Amino acid sequence: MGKRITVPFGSQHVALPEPVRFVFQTENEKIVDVEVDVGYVHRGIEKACATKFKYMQVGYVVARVCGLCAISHTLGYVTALERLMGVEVPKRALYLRLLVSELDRIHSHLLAMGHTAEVAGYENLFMQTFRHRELVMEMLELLTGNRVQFDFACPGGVNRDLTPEVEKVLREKLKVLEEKALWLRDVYENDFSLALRWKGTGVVTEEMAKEMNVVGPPARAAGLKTDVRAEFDYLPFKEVGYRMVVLKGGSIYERNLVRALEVLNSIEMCWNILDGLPEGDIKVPVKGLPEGEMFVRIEAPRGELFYYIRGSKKLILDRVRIRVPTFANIPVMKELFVGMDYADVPATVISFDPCLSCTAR
Amino acid sequence: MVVDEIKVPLREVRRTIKEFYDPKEWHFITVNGVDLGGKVELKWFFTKYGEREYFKVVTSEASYDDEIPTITYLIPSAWISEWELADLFGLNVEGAKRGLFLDPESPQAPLRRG
Amino acid sequence: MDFKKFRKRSPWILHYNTGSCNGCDIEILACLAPKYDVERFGILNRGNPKQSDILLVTGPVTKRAKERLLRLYFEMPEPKVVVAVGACACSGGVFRHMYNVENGVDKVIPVDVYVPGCAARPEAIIDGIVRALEILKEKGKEVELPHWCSAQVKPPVNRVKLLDRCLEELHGRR
Ligand code: SF4
Repeated sequence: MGKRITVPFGSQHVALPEPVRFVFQTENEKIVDVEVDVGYVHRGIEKACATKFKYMQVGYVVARVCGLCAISHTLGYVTALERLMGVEVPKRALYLRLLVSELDRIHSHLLAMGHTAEVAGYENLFMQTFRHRELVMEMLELLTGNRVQFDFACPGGVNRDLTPEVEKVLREKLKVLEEKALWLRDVYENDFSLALRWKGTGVVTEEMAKEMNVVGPPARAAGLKTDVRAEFDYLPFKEVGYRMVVLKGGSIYERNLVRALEVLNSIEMCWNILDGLPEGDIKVPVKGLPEGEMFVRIEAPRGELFYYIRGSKKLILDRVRIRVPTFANIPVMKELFVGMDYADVPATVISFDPCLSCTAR
Repeated sequence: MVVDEIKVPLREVRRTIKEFYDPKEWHFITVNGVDLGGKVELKWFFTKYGEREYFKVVTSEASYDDEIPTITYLIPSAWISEWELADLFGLNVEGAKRGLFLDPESPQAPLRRG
Repeated sequence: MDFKKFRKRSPWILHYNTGSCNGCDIEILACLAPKYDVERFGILNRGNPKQSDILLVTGPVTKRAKERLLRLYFEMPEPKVVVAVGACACSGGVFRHMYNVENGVDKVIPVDVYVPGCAARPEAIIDGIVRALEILKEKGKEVELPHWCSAQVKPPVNRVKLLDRCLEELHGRR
């Protein structure tokens, strides 16, 4: 056998948008051992949430855990807080939150799909995907006032209402987006060379997914029926036509296809939300001080997001704990790499859509 | 929301989890610590696939220098949560390495109070 | 030959995330994608520090990323321009005074252009890059050192030694 060679991958790497570092031990082309370092972006948000910021402000701080799924983090926190304090959120606010969270999911999924295409050497498709993603960004900007960090949800409701003019534009854009998303699904499903590159690469089997507690699109691509949207009632998903997308296979190809299908489902939900948006208030005041503990699960674009909060009748909470989806998926990635060809590594990493600023917080 | 909470002493934790945990049905979420001043309250969170709003929580308490039993024999993916616990609370978790998040020059055990 | 004229037309950028929330990173990506398209300035995004002229830094610089940032900075050839993208790269933003951050990029390396906003809008980033191009045109070949570093730069410059010296001081500051 050949000598062992150490190949570092990251923290700054051509194919890698995220500061994560893998150190591979390879024998010829095969990887025999891997170490992972996820701590590059550790900032200490959990500590700051429990010492510096008041409980009404924490929602905006945790949004800065991650810019890609900003609404999910805020949603996780405010849902936990509202359940803890017994606040009844108006129906309209819930629907608006749902709308933004689905749009957020679309843009995050498109980003992930585009990246995988780029790593496969398909720069053209990457550009196309990003072009269509801009539509979603425009919609989000119209709706919330900012492109990325929108701070839309707040304890007790949402910060901004949907006006009829905006709704009209949203409908127009949604129509275009739907067309484009159908086309994208078609490409990701049927393109010959992409399928050749991705099918059977980086396979997570169903048993493996169960054993390693995989979450999100990688789990659903492996055939594991888990989606927090079906398991936890934090928003009225049932009423707007949510369907769980589960495929068999578990390779990069299926992970992307799950994303493409979820985008379509999300667009359908957006239509239903716009059609059935209830009238009423968008915000109720939140009074009192939080006491006790509460935990919630949220489906972020990358999978299950877990929030644990605990207060003791003070303005500042005692503990905020965030367990993010990528944090749960790192162990399976590590497992997967052993025995794999080094050439497949970038594509596999990206297909998990790792979000390191979530992981390290 | 249904929460099934089991309080056990620290050395019973692994046995308790072993009794019910089956990877086909149970989903391990995370292990979480809360500082109570001088000791840490630990909670292992589980949920069942396909069930609505259901949690199973194993609760225990540990002082700062107790050795926390690892559950990676049962749940291989738990190592990352345990390392985090060891890092951010400065606890002594079986088999955990320091330095997942913290550098030598950052403050040690930041999530402890006082 | 005088490269000055051409340098402005084909700057390559290097992007490094030092602990940002990814918000500004995806806006930088959006800049490279069709709608905003900074490639029309001749810009290419290559992940190679040795060939880059503009360093885009996002994030408040965490303790672990600090050394990597300095290394990247020293690997880039002169002239180079550093652009701090986002509120947290400029001053620390929301993360200011958290226990593991350095409160902004200019605490570690010299910064030429600051782009504000949380998240910085693509238009603002493009503006920042265009400013950076003007600065790049003016800059010469002198080596710039971080403000906290007391080393003297004398030609001929030995980069490796300089970097070692800086790293020593960086760790000495602990
Ligand atoms: S400035 Fe705001 S959006 Fe940009 S990286 Fe920092 S926290 Fe994220």
